[in-house]
Amino acid sequence: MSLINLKVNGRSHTVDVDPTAPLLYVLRNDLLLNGPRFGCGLGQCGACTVIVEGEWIRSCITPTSSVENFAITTIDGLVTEGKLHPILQAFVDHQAAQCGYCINGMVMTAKAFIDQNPRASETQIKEALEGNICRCGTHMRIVAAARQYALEVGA
Amino acid sequence: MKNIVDSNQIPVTQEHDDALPEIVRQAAEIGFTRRDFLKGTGALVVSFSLVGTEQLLEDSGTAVAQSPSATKVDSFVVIAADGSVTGYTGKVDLGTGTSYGLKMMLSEELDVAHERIAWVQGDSALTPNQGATVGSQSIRNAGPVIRRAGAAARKFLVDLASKKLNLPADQLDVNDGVVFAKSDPTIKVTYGELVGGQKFGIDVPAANNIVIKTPDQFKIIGKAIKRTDIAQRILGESFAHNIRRPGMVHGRTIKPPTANAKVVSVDESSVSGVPGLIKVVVRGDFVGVVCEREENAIRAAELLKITWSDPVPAFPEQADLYNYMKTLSDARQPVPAPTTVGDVNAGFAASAKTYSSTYLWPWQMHAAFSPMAAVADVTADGKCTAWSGGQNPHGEVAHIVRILGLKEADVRVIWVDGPGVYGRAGSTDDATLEAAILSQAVGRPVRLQWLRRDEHGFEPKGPPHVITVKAGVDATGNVLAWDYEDRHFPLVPVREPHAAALIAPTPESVGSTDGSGGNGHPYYNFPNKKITPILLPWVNKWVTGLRSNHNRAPGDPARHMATECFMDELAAAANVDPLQFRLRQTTDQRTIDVLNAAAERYGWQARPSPAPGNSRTGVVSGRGIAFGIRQTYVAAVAEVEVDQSTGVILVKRVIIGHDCGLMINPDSVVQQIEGQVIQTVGRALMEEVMFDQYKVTSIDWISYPLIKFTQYPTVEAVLINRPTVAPGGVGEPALNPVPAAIGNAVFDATGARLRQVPFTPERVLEALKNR
Repeated sequence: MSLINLKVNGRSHTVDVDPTAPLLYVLRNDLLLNGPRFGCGLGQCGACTVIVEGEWIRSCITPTSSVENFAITTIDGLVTEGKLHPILQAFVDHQAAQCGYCINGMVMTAKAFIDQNPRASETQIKEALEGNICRCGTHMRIVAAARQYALEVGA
Repeated sequence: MKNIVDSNQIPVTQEHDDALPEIVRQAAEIGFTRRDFLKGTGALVVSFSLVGTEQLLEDSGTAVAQSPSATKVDSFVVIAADGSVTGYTGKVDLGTGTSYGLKMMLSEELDVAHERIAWVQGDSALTPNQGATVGSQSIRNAGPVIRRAGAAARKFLVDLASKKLNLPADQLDVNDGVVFAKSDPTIKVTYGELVGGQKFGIDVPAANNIVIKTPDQFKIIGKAIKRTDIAQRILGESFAHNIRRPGMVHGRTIKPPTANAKVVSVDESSVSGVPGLIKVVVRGDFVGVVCEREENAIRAAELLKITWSDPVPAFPEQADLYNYMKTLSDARQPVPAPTTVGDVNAGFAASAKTYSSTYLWPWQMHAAFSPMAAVADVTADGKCTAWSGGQNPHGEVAHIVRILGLKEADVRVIWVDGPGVYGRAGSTDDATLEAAILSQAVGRPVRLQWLRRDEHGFEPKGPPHVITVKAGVDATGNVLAWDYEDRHFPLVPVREPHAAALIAPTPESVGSTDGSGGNGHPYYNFPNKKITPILLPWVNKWVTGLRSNHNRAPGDPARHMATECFMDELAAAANVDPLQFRLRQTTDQRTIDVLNAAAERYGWQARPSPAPGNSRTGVVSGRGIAFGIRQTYVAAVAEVEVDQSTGVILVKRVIIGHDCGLMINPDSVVQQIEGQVIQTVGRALMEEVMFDQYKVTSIDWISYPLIKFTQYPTVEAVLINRPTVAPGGVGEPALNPVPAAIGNAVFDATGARLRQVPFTPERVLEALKNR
């Protein structure tokens, strides 16, 4: 165990954990965040995605010590005083969830990609989401929501 | 009576405030039983004042009542003195929007705005047991009961108002919980004023004993209502996975490495160095670990040294699976007679030509995106509260009672949001019992989640089919004789959680061939038919990784694939357009309408397949059509591109013609259709469980891939509403025709016939070679 400083959603936290502990469990169980979740623990599905310094990463296979002092954003940080970030609002507008379990990964991957590529096309968005899995078959709405966000960012 | 709605032209919808999550959350926090929930102190109870329901529980005569009776109006509707309304149902919303539909049905009959109705679902102590949420039955089977309960409550309230206002009931009307005189709306009384402090005390009336609204009276049924739980689900606030209890610790369980392996010994010293290890739990062949921290529980599960009994082959070689299935005989004694119409032998004798094909469908998994997870808190005084995201909260209670040795009255299972499960948790979600076993062992609340390899490896799976169809046709190609044989392992055998089978298995049954669909019965007007389902024996089905069980629309996709691909083969043999070939052999208007709806929307040009002029090399396009029925009528047109050099199929577009009878919420119908089609394109193109003789080897998303973002089609739905026909389900039927429509489109594009799912590039190349 060792003390590690984490900057999550604009706040600093010090956690006392095994430095190799995957970030996912620290975010969920020490910082009590609900957004990132366990889907595979293998980096194959995207359920655990968070954004670190503008890049989306799979927190289930990221050692906590490797992101010390980096700016980490989880989907929980996309709600400010009850107001949804535009990308979350886009997902609500398009009713882009069935069970919703995978959508954390969709939102965080799309946000990081579109923030870097503001005029991303539909094809580029689909390619960016290629490593994310949705079992309910909500793909059309997910892409429509991401496209709405891309149009807003690129405007 | 029907009207057609284009999915692109659904009326503008409105959002409504969402009172649900907070109530459910408080229900979870407040107490152990419904009575505690009702009697407890605090704002929640003040606002509800559920006297009627409390009295009902007193009437039940047990110290702590379990699930309220499903025959009493009070179990479904509670109106507080302040007029606030709460609906209760045992059915749970798995992300499919059924809670909105059921609430709309209650709203319609009760005449209370749906926005004002709080909703409590799937709590074994608070809600009536209406069976597991399976088979697209919530709206179809639970909905009518809720409508009748709502109508009975409304009648009860209007009769009370009649006395109070001194006006005949037929001169009164209701608007949003206010009863008023038709002649003078200022003469009025609210539901809260009428029923405050009383229970209804009446039974849910039989269908012939209550008047429910007719379609012309609907205020809300049929309107498109948007879900308001999207944000909470995305943010994860409502998931079982995020239940946190004071003192909660983390469990993981370890599955047998080979089918039917027995625990010989467990070396606890192998994990003594894992920080925060609380306990290694061994009961029979069930092994679990509990740690203070989640990542350490996972580590302990990896490190724990268990000596298992020697591997014994349990499954046939995968390459030999279908041949093996052909050698087996029906497991049932006596073997039921086939379903017959006319005289199939005479039909063949009179036929000008006969044809036969065999279709193969693999083991497929539900592939829930989250491994099953649950939290359980078993206290020293023998009470268990568990939070489950499965499909059958009431059903979990009995397993916990049996395996933990608790009293039924002391076990409460509370459903909270979970991942989409598609039948995986229809009989049992597995995790709830396991969390309870571990919690009992350590005396603390335990959160348990399966590992991905265990979810893939040990979830109950949809069984394979070998379906052989023979047909005799007349000189025009019309079918005179249809002989259909469907060999498969049981569709519905798993009745107990994996841990229960590892600890104290109950005798296995032969299972069922009935997937509550049509069992392969063709819907066309063939004069002579014989339908023979053969239920093959499958041993150790409750313990191994090939637990044969219901997968979404059990049996139906395989059965429709065979029927509808074979119809396409017969149409091609007769050189007839495949749509016309179907239409000329049915007189059923609903069948005709969905086929025409999908075809018209697609822009179907009548011609036989394969498409004239397509090259034998390079990328070619084609279209295919298929029909399906599972109470709800569905037609699919698929448009595909086939790369003849690689064998890769790209499904570009799927049009669904859809008639589910009365549509409650068109928004939900469209979402369900989209999801089913995209999921099923993946099932048709790439999903096949791999295994060796000892274990399942599809244990992650690489070895069992799902459809990706660059592979999904555009889905369009044409909805046919039949307000005077009882609602069918919408969670399964739309997937039925999809595999056949794709296979038929590939034939149209290439002239190559696919008869084995999944339609992998290798199989496509093989079919191209043989065309």
